[in-house]
Amino acid sequence: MIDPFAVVRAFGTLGAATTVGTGALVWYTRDALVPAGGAIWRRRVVLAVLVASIVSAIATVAGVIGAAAAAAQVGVFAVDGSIVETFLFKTGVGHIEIVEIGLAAAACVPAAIAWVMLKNTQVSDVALLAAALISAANLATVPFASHPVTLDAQIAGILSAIAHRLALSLWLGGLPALILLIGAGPVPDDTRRVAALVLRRFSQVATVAMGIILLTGALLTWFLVGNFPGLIGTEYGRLLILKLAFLGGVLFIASGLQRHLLPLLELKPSDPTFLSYANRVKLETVFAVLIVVIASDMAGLAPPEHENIVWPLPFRFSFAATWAIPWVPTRFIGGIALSLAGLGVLAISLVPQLRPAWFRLPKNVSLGAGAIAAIAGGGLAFPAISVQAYPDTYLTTDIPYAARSIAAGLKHYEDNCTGCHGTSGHGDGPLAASLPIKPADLSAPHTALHTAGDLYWWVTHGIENSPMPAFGDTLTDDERWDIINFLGAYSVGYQARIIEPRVQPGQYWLAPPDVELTDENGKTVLLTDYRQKSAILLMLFSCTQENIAQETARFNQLMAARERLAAAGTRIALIAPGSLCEPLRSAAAGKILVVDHDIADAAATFGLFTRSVHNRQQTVVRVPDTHAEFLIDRSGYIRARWLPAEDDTWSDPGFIMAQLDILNREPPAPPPPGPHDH
Amino acid sequence: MRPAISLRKGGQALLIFVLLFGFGLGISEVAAHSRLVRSEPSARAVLDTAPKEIKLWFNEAVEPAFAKFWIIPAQGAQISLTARGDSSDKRELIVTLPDNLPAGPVNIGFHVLSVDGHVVEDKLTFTIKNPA
Repeated sequence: MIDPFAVVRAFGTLGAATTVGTGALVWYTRDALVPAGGAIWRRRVVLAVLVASIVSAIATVAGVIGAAAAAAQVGVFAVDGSIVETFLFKTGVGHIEIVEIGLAAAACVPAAIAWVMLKNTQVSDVALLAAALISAANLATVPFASHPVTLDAQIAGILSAIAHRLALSLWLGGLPALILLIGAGPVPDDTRRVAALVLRRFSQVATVAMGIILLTGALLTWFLVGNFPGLIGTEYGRLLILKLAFLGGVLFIASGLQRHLLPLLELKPSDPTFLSYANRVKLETVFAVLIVVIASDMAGLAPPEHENIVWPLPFRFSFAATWAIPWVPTRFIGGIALSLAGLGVLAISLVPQLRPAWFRLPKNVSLGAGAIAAIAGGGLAFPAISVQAYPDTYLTTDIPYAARSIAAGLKHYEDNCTGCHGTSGHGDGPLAASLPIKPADLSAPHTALHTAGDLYWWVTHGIENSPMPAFGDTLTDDERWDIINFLGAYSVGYQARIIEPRVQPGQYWLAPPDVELTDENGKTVLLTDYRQKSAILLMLFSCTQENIAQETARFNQLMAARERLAAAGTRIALIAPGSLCEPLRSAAAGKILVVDHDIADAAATFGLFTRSVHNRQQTVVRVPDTHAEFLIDRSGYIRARWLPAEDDTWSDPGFIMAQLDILNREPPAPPPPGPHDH
Repeated sequence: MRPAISLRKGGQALLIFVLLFGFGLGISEVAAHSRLVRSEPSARAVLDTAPKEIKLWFNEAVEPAFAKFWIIPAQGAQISLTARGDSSDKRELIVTLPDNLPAGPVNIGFHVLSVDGHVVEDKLTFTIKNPA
C-alpha cells in the first residue's frame, strides 16, 4: 500500500515544484505578458503560486510530524512536542528538516508579496522569482536527508538528486501554469498570441529539463539499484519501473505536443487545437502528480541494496552457467545473428529510404519473413543461456562467511546430510545407492552454476522431482545459511588443493573465511579488518602429546621472526585449538593476533583449506587436525600455504621472507568478492 | 474534437489501471533487511562471562537520540536498555547491559534511525555460558 505519509511528502514536493516551475516560467515570459490576456494569466498564476507555497509549507510540517512519529515508533496522533523537538534538534535528519520548514515557510512571504503587488508587475515578478528560488533551495535540501547520503559516491549522488529534482520542478511544476493558460475554459482572442508564445518558451525549458532528468535519473538508478534483479525483484525497483513508465508517457505526450500541436497552434490558433493541447497537458499533469507520489513513496523505502530480492521469473540468463555447455555459444551467437538479420529485413521493409535497389520482395512477404527470423533467432538464442531460477535466487544473507557460521554449517551437514551426500560430501552416503537420482557431489565447483540463493531455496524447499528433501521446517533460517556458507568453504577448499608454498605471482582468487581475533591490545578484531593494511601469516597448530615439542619449536621460531615479518608489512595470527596448545596461546597473547574464543570452530574452518594434491582427504568432509600455515596478502587473498607433512620449505624463515618480497612487489589487487558473488 | 475525447477516456482507463497496479504492488510485504554490520559480542557468539556492554556498528550513520534497545526475555516483560553514541564513529552505538544477566541465550531487540531517515528494526542474539 502507498504510505499515507508518502502522499503528504508528495504534496510538499508538488507545492514547491509548482512554485519553482510556474515562477520560473512567468519570469522567463514576463516581457510577453503585456497584452490583456497576459495580465489575466499572470493574476491566476500568482494566486496559484501563493496557494502552492502555502500547501507546501503545511505539508512539510505534517511530513516532519510523520517522520518524528516513525522515528519514535508512536502513532501520528501520539506525537508530542518533546518527540518533535528531539527529532528536529537532536538528529541529523531533523536539522535538515528545520532548514526545509524554514525555506517552505519563507517562500510564502514573497509569494504573498507577488499577489499583493500584482498591479506593480516589476515588483510582483521579482517577488515571484524570489519565491521560486527559495522553493528551489528547499527542494535541493531534501537529498541531504535521504538515500544519497548513504551512498559511497555521496557527493555525486547528492548533486545528481538535486539536479534531478530541480529539472523535474522546472518541467512538471510549469504544467499547472499551462492549464491556467489554456485549460480553464475557451481561450479568449486576446490571449491566443500570448499563449502560443508561452507554450513555445515552456517547450524550450522542458527540452533542457528532460535531458537533465534522463541523465541524472540514470545515474541515480545506477547508484541506488545497481543491478537488474534489484530492479525487478524489489518493491523499490518495481516502483521505479512504474515511475519510468509514467515518465515515458509524459515524454510521449510532450514530444507529440512539441512536434505537431505547437507548430499547428503557432500557424493557426484555433479552438479545437487549444482544447486538444489543454487536454494533453492535463493528462501530462496527472502523470506528473503520480510520478511525484511514487517518488515520495520510494523515498520512504529502503533501496534494493538493503532489501531482499524476490526474483519473479522461473528462469534467469547466465553466460557463466551455460557457456561451457556444448553448442550453447553456437546457438546463442547464431540465434542473435538470425534475429538481427530479421530485424534488418523488417527495417528495410518499413523504411523505403533504407531499401537497396535489388530488394524486390513484396512488402507482406518481407515483413513476414523478417518477423519470423527475428522471433526464431530470439527463440534459439535466449533459451540456450537461460537456467532455472527461484524466488530466492538473488537472496543473500547478513550472516558473514566466517568461521562461526562455517563450523556450525559443517555440524548441521554432519547431522542432516551425510545419509545421502556421504561423510565424504561426494554424494556417496549409505542411502545414495537406493535413490533414483544420484545425490550431488558437493565438492564439485558449483558456484558458477548456482547462486547462494539457489542453494538456499533447495535446502529450504527440497528439489522438485528428486529425492532431495526440504529442511525449511527442521532447520532455522540461520542454520540453513550456515550450511550454505559451509558448502562454499568446502567446495572452494577442494579447489585450494593446488595452493603451494611458493607464491604464484598474480594468482589471487582464494579468499579465506573471516575469523574473530584478539589483537595485541586485547581488542576484538576481524581478519578482514587487516585488508589493505597488512599481510597475515596465519598459523594453524595441532598439538598432540607426540608433536608438542615440535609445535612449540615452530611457534618460538616464528615469534622470533616477528620483527622481520613486521618490517615486511606482515602480522602473525595464531589458531591453536585444544588444551595442549594452551601454553602457545598464553605466550602469544598481547604479542600477535590470537584466536581466543570458538577456537575449535576456527580450526575446523581453516582445516577445510588443508587438502592438497597429494592428500585430498576425500573420504571425509571434516579434515583431521593438522599443522598448516597460510600467507594472506594485503588485498585479502590466500597466496601461499605450507603443510609441514609435505615439504620443509617454510622451516626456513628466509623462504617466507622471499615470498613476502614477491607479494610486496605486486600492485594491489581488487578486494575479494563475497563467497557467493557472481 | 474526437481525438481529445478518446484521449480523455484512454487517460481514465490508464489511471484506473495504474491505481490498481500501484496498490497491488504494495501487497508484497518486504521484510526489513538488517543493516547491522558488526557487533561486539558478535551475533551468535558463545561467551564465557556476561559482557558489560554491547557495541554495534551499522553500515551507515545512526541517530543515538532515537535508538531503542531492549532485552527480549524468554518470559515476562521486555527490559529497556540505554544506548549512547560514539563521538568518534557515527556508525557505532554502545548499549549498557544490566549486570544480572542469567546464563543462556540473550536476545536483544533494537530499533534505530539512520541518517537517511529510515528506521531499522532487528535483533541480536548471543549466549552466556556462566552467569556474572
